[in-house]
Amino acid sequence: MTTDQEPQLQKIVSALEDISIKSNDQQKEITNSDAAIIEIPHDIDSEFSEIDAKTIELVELVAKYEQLVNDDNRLNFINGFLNLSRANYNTGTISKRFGADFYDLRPHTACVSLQYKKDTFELVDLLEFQRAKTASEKALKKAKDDKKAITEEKEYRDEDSKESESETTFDEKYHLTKDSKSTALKSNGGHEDNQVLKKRGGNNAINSSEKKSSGTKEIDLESEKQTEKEIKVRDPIYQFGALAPYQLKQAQNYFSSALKESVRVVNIQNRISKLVNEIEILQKENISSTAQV
Amino acid sequence: MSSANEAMAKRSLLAAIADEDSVTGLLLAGVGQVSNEVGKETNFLTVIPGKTTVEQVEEAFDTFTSGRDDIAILLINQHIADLIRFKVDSYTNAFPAILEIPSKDHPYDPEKDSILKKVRRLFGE
Repeated sequence: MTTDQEPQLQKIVSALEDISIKSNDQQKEITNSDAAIIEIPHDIDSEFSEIDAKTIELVELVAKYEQLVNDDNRLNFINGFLNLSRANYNTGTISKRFGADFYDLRPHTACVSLQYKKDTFELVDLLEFQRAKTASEKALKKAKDDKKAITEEKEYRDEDSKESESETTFDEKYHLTKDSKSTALKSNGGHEDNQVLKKRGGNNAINSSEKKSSGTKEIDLESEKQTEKEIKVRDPIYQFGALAPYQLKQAQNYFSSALKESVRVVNIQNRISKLVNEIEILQKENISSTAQV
Repeated sequence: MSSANEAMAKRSLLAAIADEDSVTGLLLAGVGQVSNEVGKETNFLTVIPGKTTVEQVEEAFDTFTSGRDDIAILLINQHIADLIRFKVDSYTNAFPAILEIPSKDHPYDPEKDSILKKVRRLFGE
């Protein structure tokens, strides 16, 4: 088998193995052309009363909500369940279902948390943060090691040249080391800034109760060793055994996107609910004002 | 308002009341949190038909909504929400938000969606 054939083979295998339901398989009731009918020219907007404008907004939101809930969200859940069942089937025995027996009931932190900004929920993935941070730390460490190697080499060279030359080489050496120190500090400071930014994202998920229970302290930005004291989140797929079938990973991906869509659904629900309340208030006002007239 | 914002900032978790497969899926997505604190041991309830009683579901619902102050969204299967429909429909707090999710055996039914019911009521159907 040549190396050219391998990616093609992988494509064929993945196409055959992918049993997930795509949205093309589902019947779409609202097409893009249908949605265009609802469009209203902008110059007429000013003639609409407040209640009409709100009603139009509500109708558009409800259309969006229905499309989201019926198509995307449902599909993610369906595919997630499908892949989970496939993973269960592949393990062979009935007794080894990926279910309640596998749950990790030791104290641990959730991998996703929510932030509430400007009346909307936002999902924050702590696992991604952690992975990105470890990757950046590794890259930084590598850069530092490389810098260290370069400065040591330069010092060695300078020491050689110093034996035969005057004081200017000492200044050169001093500048060199000073420069290397300042760049190291800058990169350190930058790294610490990154830590602060990422910590802000992560802090919302870290409850004070969790800190107490896991015995960690407040983040001290002055020492680099504080990264060891952070609460580590673990990929939840590991609680289902070290050699979980790949369908379980696929199921995990679908459930993660289902969760993101669910948060979007909640945001739209909140907006719809708010609009409905506002329209009801306006309707009552209209009724009372027409009753007075 | 700032105290409300502070209260909101504490609410950062999701909770789940669902059947075994749904809870497995949600745990895979990273929703689960377990702690040693009293009253906040887990943030999910696995409902096993035949074993879990309606009272237990009600109790969990009350704990996740009123009892705990760190939950922002409660995910509940639609068929389990039907068991405590009176509680879910009369729930008026802004937080935590309640979202009904489909399960493997009970797909999404738009007739039971409380938000769409509200809209229908508004338009007088």
